[in-house]
Amino acid sequence: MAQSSPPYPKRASNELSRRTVPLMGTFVTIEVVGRDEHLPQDHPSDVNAAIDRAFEWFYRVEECCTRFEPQSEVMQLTLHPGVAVPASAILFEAVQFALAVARETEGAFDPTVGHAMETRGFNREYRTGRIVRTQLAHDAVSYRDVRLDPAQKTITLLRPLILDLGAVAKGLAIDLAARELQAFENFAIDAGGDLYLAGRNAKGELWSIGISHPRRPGEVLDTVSVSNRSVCTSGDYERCVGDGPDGNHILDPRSGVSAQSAVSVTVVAPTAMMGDAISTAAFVLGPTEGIRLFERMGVEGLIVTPSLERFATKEFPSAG
Amino acid sequence: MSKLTWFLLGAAIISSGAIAAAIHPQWGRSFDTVLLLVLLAALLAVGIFTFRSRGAERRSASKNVSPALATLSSAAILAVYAAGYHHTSAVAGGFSEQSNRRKPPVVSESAALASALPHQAIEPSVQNPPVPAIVTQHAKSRQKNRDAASAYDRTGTDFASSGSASIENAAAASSAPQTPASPDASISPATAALSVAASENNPNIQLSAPATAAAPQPKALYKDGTYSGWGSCRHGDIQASVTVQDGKIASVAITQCLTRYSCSWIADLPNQVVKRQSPEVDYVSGASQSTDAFYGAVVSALSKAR
Repeated sequence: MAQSSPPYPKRASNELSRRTVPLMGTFVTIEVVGRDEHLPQDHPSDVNAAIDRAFEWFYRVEECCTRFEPQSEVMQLTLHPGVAVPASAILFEAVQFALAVARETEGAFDPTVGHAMETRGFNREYRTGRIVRTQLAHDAVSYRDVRLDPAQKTITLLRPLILDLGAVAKGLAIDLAARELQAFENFAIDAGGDLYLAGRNAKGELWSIGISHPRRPGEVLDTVSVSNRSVCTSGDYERCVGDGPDGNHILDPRSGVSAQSAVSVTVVAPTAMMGDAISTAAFVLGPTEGIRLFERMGVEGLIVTPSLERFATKEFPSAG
Repeated sequence: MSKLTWFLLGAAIISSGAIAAAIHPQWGRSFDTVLLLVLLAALLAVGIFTFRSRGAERRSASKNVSPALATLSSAAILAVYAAGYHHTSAVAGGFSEQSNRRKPPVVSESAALASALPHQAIEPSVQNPPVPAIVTQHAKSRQKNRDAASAYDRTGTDFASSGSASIENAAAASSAPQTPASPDASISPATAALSVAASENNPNIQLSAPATAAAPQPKALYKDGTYSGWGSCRHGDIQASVTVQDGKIASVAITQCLTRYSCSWIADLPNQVVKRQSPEVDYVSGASQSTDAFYGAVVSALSKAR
């Protein structure tokens, strides 16, 4: 604490505002460091109210975008193939962004894998444990089967399919929460290992983020120092479900099987939405094409292969 | 050469021409010079345009796509954020009451605030659409959606029957266009209050800050006590106990572990729920903490704490 630099006020640890809530199939933690200097000193409730609102974005995004809830907006789309369905801002923007990433990665990232994921066992509603099964024809679908009308804000599924917005929706929720907390310069949002870090930590330093070791639980593979960036990691170790020992939660949309050429991909990007989607795409693409994707997208990234070989962009903010 | 280079080159030529014209007024007066500059600009514009459309055809070859995605993601965040609680709540359902309470008091104030916000992209527009009307209409169309959905359930494969209802539905929505950038919805009032408080120019409006505290309490508050719950995944079951103090999770422990794999895998998880920090790092990216069974156990325990 003693080495805190002048622009960042010193804070005792008990002044931290941190809260954890189970959300989106994981634990979401929001921490606000330091009181906003412009706020009156007797207004501690403002921090808490802001954190409340930030959490509410997670609820909203989850309500719209979960494929585990038949009544969710995204699942309502599935019931109306061939029809231009009006979409909320959250759903429309999430789908629009997911399709943009799909085009940029030529299908390595594809939001239409929802049904394939469901058939492969990623079908358990995490709160109730209820198994979700949607009856759909087993057609090969791709992101080209989704049409958007930006003027009317409608989404049309050209064929019956399920959109899996997991990667984009969590990122969007993080970014919206970050936007909500913008008045506070220094804060961290952790949604199950996908993070957004703003400003500095309580010591007035850059946020120090460990990257989980893909094969040794509890150990850290590398550390990055960041500020005003999202850090998102896609790994093959996150969920204990899947078909067979190699089943993980990332499908190669082009082949329909679990991606195998990487075990962990970390992306440091300006927004969590971008970081989450690009790390998922790079997980499918593997090290060579993945690094090329990072460079094209202007993000920093680290890819770990099954033999634990590391590939990183030149400017990857590795601290160790 | 990339689009960006072309663009910069064009901008440089045009601006140097403009500066030259400004420095030498006699040039500026010459109609020929002006015409030449305009022609040059037009030529460059055409060049960039054709380059662009060619680039769009073979996107993979395009080198400068990164700003596009970065911009798109930022635009998406702003669009949703700007749509604010009104539109998201209309769809989410059950939140409409809250969002009505969140209506900002004065429109002009929030329009002024939009420009005070660090993100300049929110464009305050003059119109103030009847938001509650849209909300109801949207809610109605959603109800239709549900009706159509149940119709689909009954008929099984008959998409056409559900289709007609939804076309109606789409028409209803198009008659009530969603305008996310409207000042009414552009900033949630609570944020507005914060921004006001944050801008030193408006010390008087700080009085509106208490309105923030009136925001509805989140679902995240729990009753104090110790609760336990089971979670399961394909590999077995886990029982976790959660202690709530002052409405917040104070401690979490794994009380029973009936999984195929060793629970040492997740031994650290309980601490992470309460506090994700270690001496070396602030946070960990890509942690294995979302292990289904443990998560389910905690959620189940907390469901008893409501």
